[in-house]
Amino acid sequence: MSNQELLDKLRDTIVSQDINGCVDATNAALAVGISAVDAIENGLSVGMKIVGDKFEAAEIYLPQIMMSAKAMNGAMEILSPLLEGDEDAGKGLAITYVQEGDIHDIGHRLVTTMLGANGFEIIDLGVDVPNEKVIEEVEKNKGKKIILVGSALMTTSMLGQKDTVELLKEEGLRDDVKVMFGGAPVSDAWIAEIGADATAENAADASRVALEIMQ
Amino acid sequence: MGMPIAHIMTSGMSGIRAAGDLVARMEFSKSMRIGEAKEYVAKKLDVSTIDLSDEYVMREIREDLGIGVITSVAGAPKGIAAKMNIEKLLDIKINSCERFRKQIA
Amino acid sequence: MTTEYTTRMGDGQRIFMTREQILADLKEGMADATDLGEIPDLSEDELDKLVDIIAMPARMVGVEPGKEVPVTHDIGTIRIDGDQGNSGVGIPSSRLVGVMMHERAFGADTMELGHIDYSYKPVKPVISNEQQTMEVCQQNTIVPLLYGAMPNLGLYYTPDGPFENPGDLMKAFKIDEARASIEGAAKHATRDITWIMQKMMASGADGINFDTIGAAGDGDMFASLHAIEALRKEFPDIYIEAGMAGELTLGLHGDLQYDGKVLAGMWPHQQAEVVSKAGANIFGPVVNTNTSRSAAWNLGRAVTFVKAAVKASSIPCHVNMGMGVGGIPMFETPTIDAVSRASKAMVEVAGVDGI
Repeated sequence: MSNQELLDKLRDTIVSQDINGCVDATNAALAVGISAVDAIENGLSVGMKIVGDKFEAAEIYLPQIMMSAKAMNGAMEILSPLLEGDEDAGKGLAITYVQEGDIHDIGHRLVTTMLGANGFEIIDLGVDVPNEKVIEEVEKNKGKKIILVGSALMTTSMLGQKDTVELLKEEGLRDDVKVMFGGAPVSDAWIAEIGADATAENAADASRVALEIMQ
Repeated sequence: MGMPIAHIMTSGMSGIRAAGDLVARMEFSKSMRIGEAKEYVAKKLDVSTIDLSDEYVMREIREDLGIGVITSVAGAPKGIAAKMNIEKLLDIKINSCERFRKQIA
Repeated sequence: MTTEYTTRMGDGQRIFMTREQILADLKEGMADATDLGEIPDLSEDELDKLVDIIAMPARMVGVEPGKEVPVTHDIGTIRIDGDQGNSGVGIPSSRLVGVMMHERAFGADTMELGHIDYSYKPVKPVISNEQQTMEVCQQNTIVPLLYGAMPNLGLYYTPDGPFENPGDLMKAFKIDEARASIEGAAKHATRDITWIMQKMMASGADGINFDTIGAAGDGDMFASLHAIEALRKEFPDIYIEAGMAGELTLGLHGDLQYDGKVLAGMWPHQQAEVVSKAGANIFGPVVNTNTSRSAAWNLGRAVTFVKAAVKASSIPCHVNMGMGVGGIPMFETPTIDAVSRASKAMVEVAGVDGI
């Protein structure tokens, strides 16, 4: 099997939610000298992109996307140790949470899973999270490549996102993190107004945007 | 609050100010689409369908038929009494009226 | 100089667009709907009509005389006495006062009674209070008065309910367990909604409004459809309004079916068919607003989806047109110019039977 065929196999095991097959394909790729970075970027991530597009088009649903994510996770368990020390290979640390006063978490969970499947290290703070706790977590992980991923489904809780950015500035942490917010009321205009970095329309788009702004 | 009132002003049938409640009852009780519901009610009231949202036309008809008017006219049927007259007018049964009848039987 | 018209963004902000820009955005929104739902385009005449509606030189617009439709109301009296957390304006008043204000002061065609928590499950412990309020309201109102709340399957999962949270289970990749949890919760929700409405019908309710079906995914819709079916069987004359939560039924389970059709991934025109099959009288389609696109883009998209649903439906369609749905901006106090234009467009172009 050629290198390209092995990379295609990695892609296909993700798309077909073949959990065991994905682990086998990862081992096979490493055995012929394909690097961990190549396997992720040109095999597994391509598969996750296809899965994300299918989810966006309502061709597959949450259980299917979770099975693909599980296949990806299996591969990442093998590949992650090989990436250690390679600063550029890791996508970064994603701190995900739902804004204080808001407990809507379906979108939050989905985005967290998609980011994890796309190679981000995850700290999931859960729902109804006060800004102080978010800042504390950023402080704790200072020095890493961090992206804050906050969600708010209500117009009332969305207002707290402005305070998050303000607090980051006050604590001198704004330049240490990328800030991405999502949720139904969040618009591009709101992101610009509060000085955040990005928003996305859905979970699949969120991982694409996150990868883009973390480059 | 601006939203429901804006919809009522833009597109609504004005409820008991005109005949909005009656058309709604036919949509709900017989699953009639809007055109059929309006024609059914208009026929029962002997008016045209455009009259159903016309407060000027409906004010007197409602008082004459005892099916409820928006102002508190002394002695005019209200609540269950008005709905019992609506039952007769539209040839339908209304649950609250049925319960009321059972209580006084 | 080209004339520019005042319109809105999906988040409510005022913008200015030419007729050409409005038409371009309408077409783009329409294309998004037709691609996703695999449904027909609007005609050129319909698009022109939408441009005319958006560009009308008046703060508020209205439908042509004779085209009016009945308006139903989700959330009921909570919008008067509720607080900001549930979209109310916090005026201390009773629910009877709220119902009568809608009937007599606002000219509402129908009304709904709901309780402050507005989900079915928490009605159980306060059912006697709800029955008493329904009785008093029925004695004083003339317009159809439904009992309404959200199916809200989320309340059946930990920490609020007996079933393990499928979100947690999914995260741990326990897919089968997550699905079993959704199925268990759906059975409980069906049982609860049916029981609550048995009580409310005994107190004279005209019927039931399911508000935000599918908010917790396909399990939420599955539970609602079975409740509709059970209620229609037990009360042949009950009024049943089935309003959706979003344009797409989210597949949190993925395999649940009704009448041989997979619920996950259903668009409004497909939802209309199963809702009617279950026994509802009125279907409430929803199309969500994109805050980063113009009102024209959102309206083109929403009207396209809703028109297809109206055509596919065998029962009346009352389109959901609240904050952030039906082409209305996602903003807590939606502007009247945008609301009235979206309202007129849905009646005159999508052909809805009510709002």
